[in-house]
Amino acid sequence: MSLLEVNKLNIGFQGGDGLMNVVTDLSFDIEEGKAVALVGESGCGKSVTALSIMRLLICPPAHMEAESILFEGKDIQQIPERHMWKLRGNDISMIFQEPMTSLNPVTTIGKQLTETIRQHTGCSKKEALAKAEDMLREVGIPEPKQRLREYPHQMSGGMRQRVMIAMALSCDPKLLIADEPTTALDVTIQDQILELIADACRRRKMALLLITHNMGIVAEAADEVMVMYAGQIVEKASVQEIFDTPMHPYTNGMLRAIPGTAHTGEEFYVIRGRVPSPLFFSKACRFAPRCDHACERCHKEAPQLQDIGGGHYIRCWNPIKGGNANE
Amino acid sequence: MNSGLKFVIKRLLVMIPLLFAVTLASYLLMTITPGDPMAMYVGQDQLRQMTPTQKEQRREALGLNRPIIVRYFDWLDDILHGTFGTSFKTGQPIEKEIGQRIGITMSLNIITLFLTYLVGIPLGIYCAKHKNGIVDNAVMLYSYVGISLPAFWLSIMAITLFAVKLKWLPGLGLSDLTLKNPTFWQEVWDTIKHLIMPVGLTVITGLGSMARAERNLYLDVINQDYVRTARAKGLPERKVKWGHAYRNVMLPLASEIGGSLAGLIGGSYIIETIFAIPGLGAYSTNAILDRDYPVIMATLLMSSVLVMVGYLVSDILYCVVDPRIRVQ
Amino acid sequence: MKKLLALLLALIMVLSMVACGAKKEPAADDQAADAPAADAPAADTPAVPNEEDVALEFEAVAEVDDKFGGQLILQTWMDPININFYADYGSVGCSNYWTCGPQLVVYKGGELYPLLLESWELDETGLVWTMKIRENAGWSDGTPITVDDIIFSMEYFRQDTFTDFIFQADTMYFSETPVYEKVDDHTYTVTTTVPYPTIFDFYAVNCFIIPKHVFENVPAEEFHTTTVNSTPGEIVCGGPFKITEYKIGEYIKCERNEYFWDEVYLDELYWRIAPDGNSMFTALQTGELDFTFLMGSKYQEAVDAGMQIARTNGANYSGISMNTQDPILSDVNIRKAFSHIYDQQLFIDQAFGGQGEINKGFVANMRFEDPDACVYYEHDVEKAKALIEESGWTLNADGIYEKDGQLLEVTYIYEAGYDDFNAMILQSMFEGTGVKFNIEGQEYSVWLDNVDAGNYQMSSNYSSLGPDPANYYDNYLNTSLFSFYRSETLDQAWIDGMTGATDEDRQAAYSAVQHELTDAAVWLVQPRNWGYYAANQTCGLDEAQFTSTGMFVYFHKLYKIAE
Repeated sequence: MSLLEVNKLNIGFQGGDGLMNVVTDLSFDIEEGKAVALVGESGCGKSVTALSIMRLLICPPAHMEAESILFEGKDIQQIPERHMWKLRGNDISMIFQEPMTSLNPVTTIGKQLTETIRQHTGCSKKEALAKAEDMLREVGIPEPKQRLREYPHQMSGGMRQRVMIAMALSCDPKLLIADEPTTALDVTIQDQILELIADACRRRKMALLLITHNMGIVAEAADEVMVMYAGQIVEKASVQEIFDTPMHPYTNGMLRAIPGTAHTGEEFYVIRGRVPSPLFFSKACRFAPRCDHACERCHKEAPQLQDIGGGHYIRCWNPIKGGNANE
Repeated sequence: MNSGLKFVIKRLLVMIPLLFAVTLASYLLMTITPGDPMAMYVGQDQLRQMTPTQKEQRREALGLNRPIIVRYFDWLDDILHGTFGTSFKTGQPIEKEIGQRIGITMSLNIITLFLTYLVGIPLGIYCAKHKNGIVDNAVMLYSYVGISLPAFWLSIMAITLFAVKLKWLPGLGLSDLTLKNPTFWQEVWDTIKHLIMPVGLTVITGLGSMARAERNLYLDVINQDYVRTARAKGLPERKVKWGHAYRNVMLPLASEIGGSLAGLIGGSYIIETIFAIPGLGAYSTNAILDRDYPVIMATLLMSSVLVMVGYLVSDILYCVVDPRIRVQ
Repeated sequence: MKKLLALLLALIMVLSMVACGAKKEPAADDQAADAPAADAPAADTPAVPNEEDVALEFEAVAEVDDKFGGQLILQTWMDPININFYADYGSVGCSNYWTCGPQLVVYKGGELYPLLLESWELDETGLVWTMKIRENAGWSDGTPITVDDIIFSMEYFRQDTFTDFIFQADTMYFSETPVYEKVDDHTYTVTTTVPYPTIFDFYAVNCFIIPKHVFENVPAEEFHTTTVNSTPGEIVCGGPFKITEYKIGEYIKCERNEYFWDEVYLDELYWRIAPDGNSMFTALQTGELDFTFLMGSKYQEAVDAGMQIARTNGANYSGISMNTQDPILSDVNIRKAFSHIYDQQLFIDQAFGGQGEINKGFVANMRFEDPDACVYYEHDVEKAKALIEESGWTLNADGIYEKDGQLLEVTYIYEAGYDDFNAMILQSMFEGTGVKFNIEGQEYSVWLDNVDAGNYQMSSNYSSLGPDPANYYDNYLNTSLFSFYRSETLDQAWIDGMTGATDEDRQAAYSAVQHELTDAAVWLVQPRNWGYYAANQTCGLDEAQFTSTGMFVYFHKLYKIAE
């Protein structure tokens, strides 16, 4: 049984021109202790997917429904809103992209940490502070006791993210959702934070859902990769397979676009075209308009996600065989 | 908090040259206004009675032939010795007159402020939660209407309706003269009855804008990331609101209070006149109409002080509530 | 789209509310300073009351068996300057004085009513008055009021420190210092070397009798600021009432003075302090006031509400000065012509909303008023033109009179912000008459300076004159109030009026004064406006006698009609 099972998730937004379907019939699952990366360009729907799991999306204007969202076998959609807090931060935790705005600027770090702890464990303030201090130490913040009394603006970006992580881990959740945790940080810090997350997950045997657009960090942190495009998963495979044998032209394109693979003097590779607006998603393959590898069928019929063996799924009529990323 | 103390002291020190500049400028402006400068020292009635020779003598005696700056310092000298001088109209020491009126004006304004916040804030939050609903649109509309309606018209309509036609409330003043030996509580209730209309009208006109400001503020805050984080880490909605959202919403409002200190002096002239309430608003404005210069200078000084103190209080409150600002 | 609709709706709502509001009278600009000097009411014209509608007196509303007891609430414009009302010289202080101070006599119309002063007698020489005061009069603390108090007061206020004219009144009216002598506790004499006819005007209007036992140790310099007699409840009062409570800005409470020389009907009398005309009227309707000054614009409403209404003649409109020292205006024909151009009825209609009457005399409310002796200039533009042309002016191409290259052009100066409306009416009267009439509003102190110095051609007069022409004499001599017009006969007539031994003598003199002043067209005589006072049905005012200055002759005879 998977830790988290999402079945046919649909997310739409109420706009001036009608309901825009941003995520269509999304299904995936995450097993205990596994790190899964959800990758895609901006606007493909990955962030809203992550938010929707814990029902953090503001509905309206958003509108979400799924056949089921099972966590440890139970459909968490059935949980009434007033009981959701028991799940959040406790069984499932989430960290966000912008650590500066994600922390309350007028409350001390200590307070922000202890209120979660006390909410979920009911322990005393003293105990909570001690636990908070431990957490800060765990995430590698020097002088944790001092930090408890400080405010977010007194820390650097990297440190704030560490605090966010500490907060997320403080109640020993089984699943950590990390929405672009390093995007807003300095390049030099990104690695550190990523390593911190990955380590923590491994140590605690915690599952990880890592949302990112950066294929580079996927390689480091994930066991499995799901590539998302225009509200659908287009390829799912282990991280090894994705890098060695990417089959979906989109995945291929993304890998090719990584600057490191270019040679001096060459132009950067760019997937032509742009992600279409959800109002204009094609009824056939949504990637077809931009695809160099498209065939006739791609423009007529919508492909389904198919298992091609070895835990490799693909949604394509004309996948790239052989898996040479430079093709 | 040593730096905090230093900050406050520095600000207080800065006030002194500022006050000096304001009063000097006002004094100069008044001397420039056309007409006999004696009007600044001798009341109208007396002025009319004096013959030209008497005027000249008085001019000498008052030292009006000396340069303006010297005369200003005379006035300043009086102030520093703790006296505002005496009013032309009444011949009474101005401190006494202000003292007699300040109580009622302050109570009136504080109650109004309190009520406006008390009703305006929850109303604004309700509007924000039910954005674009009927109540929200009504309040938005109302905020424009409230500002546009002239106070005196509203007052008269209210008095005509509630005092004359319906006879629910008294029409003017602060006490019912027909009460015989009222008990303490009867007196309290009597005063409250008299204040319902003046306070009510001011609150009603200001409510719309307060609710609107609050609503926008709330919408701003509630969509902030840290509110989302608070929810994500498992705080029940109530704690999300009270622990995180509201505090940040209150922030700007708490500091606004400081700014409204200055309105205490002149703000309520129309209400005070129509409802026959003896307050500072009527006092200071009437002084201007009567050309009662010592009173004008005194109330001017008071307003300036209040404005500056008000802003200082605002800034202090800001520092207290928002730790980000303390660093500076 | 929705937003546009909402905005439109808002606009409609606001506009309709403004339209509703426009039908009501403007409020705050009807604040007058003192009741007697009230400015013109709002321009909307209510029905002009008939003579039958309007009583000059309050009439008895109901027959009441027992008039004793109860309370009435009267209205006053502003706080007393000093609750020790003897030290107060504002009009408000005076109303406190009339209710709480010992009043010797009072005028109603031309008649003198004895109050504290019971009787008076002039001896054969005409130079010695024997005055007798009532024997049962007492101060509110029980001390009897005696001649000692009167003589003390006269001497007290003659001290040099009292430069305010009100306290110098007895010397103001009269050039020498009368000699007061006590005969017994209730009789005294006043002796002068020349006849002193104005003594009663002094007694009626400006005389303050202070309790000797309270003020004998108060030095003159401290009189205005002393706190000696300033605690409500302990203030020593000699009138029908004593002040027992004072709430700043709200009210003054007076209670019956048991030691007053006559019965006092009311238990309590309140003066409610209310500065706004509209508020006062609604307070009248709700019963929070029993009696108040009534604005002309509220007249009809008051009639409809069945209130008691008295009409008095309003402020003395002393006229518009035409500076006789000005080259154009020194010609009496021009002045007469202007008097013919001035249309009193138009002024009444536009400035007083029809609430007034044409003044055929010299000045309204003046004692010794003799309209028959006055020259009345009826509104007649043709006559005016004839007079102008008689002086050699001819109409030029623009329709303006011209003589020797000079235009018939005059400028009228007035206090900006107060007299604007009246100035405009005046200007409209001169349109099409061949006179180029300019108006110029000036800031108060500037205007005052110009008027005093004679730097003007025409100006509104600023003094309000008292009822006795004797107090005009100084003005005649010193200020521009009489347009700088002098003549020997006039000088003598003024003096005769002041020194005449009997009223008939004075009347003859003043008739001559009035005749010459109007004949010389010194002023544009302005109409008299009406002032209204209203009381609701619970006020028994009949015996109290209402004077034209808006006060009661007998405050102690006010009574309450129970509902």
